[in-house]
Amino acid sequence: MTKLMYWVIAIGALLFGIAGAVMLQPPQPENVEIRLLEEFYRSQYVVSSMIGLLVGLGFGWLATQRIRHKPEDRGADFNSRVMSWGLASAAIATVTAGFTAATMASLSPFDPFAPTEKVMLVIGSGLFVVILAFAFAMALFAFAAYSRFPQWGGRYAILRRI
Amino acid sequence: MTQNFVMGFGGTGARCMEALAYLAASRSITEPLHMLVVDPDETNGNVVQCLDQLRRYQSIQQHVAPNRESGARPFFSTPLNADLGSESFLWANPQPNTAFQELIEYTAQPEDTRALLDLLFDESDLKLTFEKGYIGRAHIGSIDLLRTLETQIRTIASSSDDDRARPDAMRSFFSTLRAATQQPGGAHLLVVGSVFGGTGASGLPAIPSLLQSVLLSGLQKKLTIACIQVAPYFSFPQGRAEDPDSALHPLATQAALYHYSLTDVGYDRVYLVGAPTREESNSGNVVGGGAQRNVAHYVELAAGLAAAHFFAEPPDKETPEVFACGGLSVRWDSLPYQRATDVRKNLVALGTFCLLHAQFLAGSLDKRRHLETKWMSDLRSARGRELGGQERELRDLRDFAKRYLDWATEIQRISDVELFTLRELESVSALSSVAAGGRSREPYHELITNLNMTRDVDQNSGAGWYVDALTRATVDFCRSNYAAWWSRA
Repeated sequence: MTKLMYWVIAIGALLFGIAGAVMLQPPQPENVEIRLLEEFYRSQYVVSSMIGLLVGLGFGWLATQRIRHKPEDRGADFNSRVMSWGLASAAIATVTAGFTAATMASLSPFDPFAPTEKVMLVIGSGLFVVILAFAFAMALFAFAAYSRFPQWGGRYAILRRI
Repeated sequence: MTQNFVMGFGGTGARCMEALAYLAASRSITEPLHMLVVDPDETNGNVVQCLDQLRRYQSIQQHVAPNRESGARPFFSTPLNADLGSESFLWANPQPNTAFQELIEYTAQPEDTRALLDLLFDESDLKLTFEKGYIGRAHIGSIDLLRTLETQIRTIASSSDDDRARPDAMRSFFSTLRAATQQPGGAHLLVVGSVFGGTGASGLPAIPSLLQSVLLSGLQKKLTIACIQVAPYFSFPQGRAEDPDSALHPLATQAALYHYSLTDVGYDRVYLVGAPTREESNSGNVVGGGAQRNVAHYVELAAGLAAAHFFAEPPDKETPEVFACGGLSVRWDSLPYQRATDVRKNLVALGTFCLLHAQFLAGSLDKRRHLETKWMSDLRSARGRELGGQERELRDLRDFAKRYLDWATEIQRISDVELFTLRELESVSALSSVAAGGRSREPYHELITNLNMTRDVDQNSGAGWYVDALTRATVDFCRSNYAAWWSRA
């Protein structure tokens, strides 16, 4: 894993999310207001982004406690370990955001659907993938940003020093 | 600014010079030094070891300078024989294979002079050659060394200062000394050697009077001269009947000190350094040559600290002073002049630096594993510096570091010495236990973290940047690792 690849993935996920949010339409079942579905998805974009932010920052902190310099480490190997933790944070954030969206869907006012039908309605749409993409991208950005905090001195930096 | 000069005579003098080099490397001594080892036997193991270290030091120091803005000094920033080549560190006998009787022109002497010489020297003395040094025969060494020094110094006295460009190390040394006495700050000259051996015992009494002929009239006041007389501190097994016998060293010392007590040789200050017991320093009775290599001893470190004291606090030539230092055990706080030189902090930090580089980083640099590290990208930024990893100065640094660790390990093996605690050098945990009181559980990680966090390193070359950054990383680590005593040392 190189820094270039890390940023290609992060930016790619973000662009996918933005494009999807703009171009994709929510499902249009009968008896459910479209407005409610649109509001639901917009709120989930925010929730998933917050989840990504928190998980990314949390993994960033955890990385400082766990990732260690070892004798005979190559610079590239060490960087790769750090970025693997970043990807792991994104994966965790994605799963968490998906689970959260499904849970909140089951509690949403999409009458007359039953809870499981509400969940299937939400996750069956392409916009659900957009929710996951926002969580994924935000976790990667948050992890990279944490590595630049002063107390780190940039030693795990994925962002180049300006 | 006063210039500082050091002459080390013989094997003991060379060993003390090696310790002095470590004090300079660690920043316990920060003023430039001009050093010269004098030994007729240039293959002497002690001399070779010292010269190897001085040459490596010079190779590294050429890349390291104090920070222009803050004045902070990295390791190896104290110049030794600045602007001179590595050949300037040693003067050896130019005629080692010429018999003593030829040097004193025995056969050309009148009969009554020959009779006197026959009283003073036996046949083996007259036939002695010097490829293995003076072999403890100070009565021969003093004459030969005096004769040689006189010849060299007479040449200098009759020449101009431009002649210091000549390659001869001794002429360069004394020419530079003479030029320094003509500057406003004057010069300090320190002479160090044993009083019980051959070359040291021969050279110590000769220097002050010979300098009278070198220095221009009226400038002798601008030269302060001191000597470190090293009393016996080591022994070696008995050899053949004609070989040196270390059991006679105390007797030779008694005779020498009796002479010094009755005769004002001309030093402004005298340091007497020794040890209460004489550890065996060699497994065999080796007379000269590369095998004559003694293990390191804390007496040599004490001599180095005496040198630091002399350069920092020279005598005022009016008030006699007596300094004494010692203890039942050798600890950091019982070393002479230890607080003013911060010797505990500096030597422990240097030990950590050397251990980290020699055991861990040197191999990685050689195999270019350092590429794409955070600190390497910092090294390259702004100035376009590079560090390939196989530069000669990095190899010199590795070899210097290894010898320093051996030196420290040899000292700690002496009984009742509580200075270093180096063990299992290949283990990462050794990084936090160069001395007692270390507490870090992840020393390698912390050191590399510090290295990655080092900012604003202003050195011209990649090697200089590396030494400076590693110095800062090491000192920061030691400050934390040895928090129990660092602030009180």
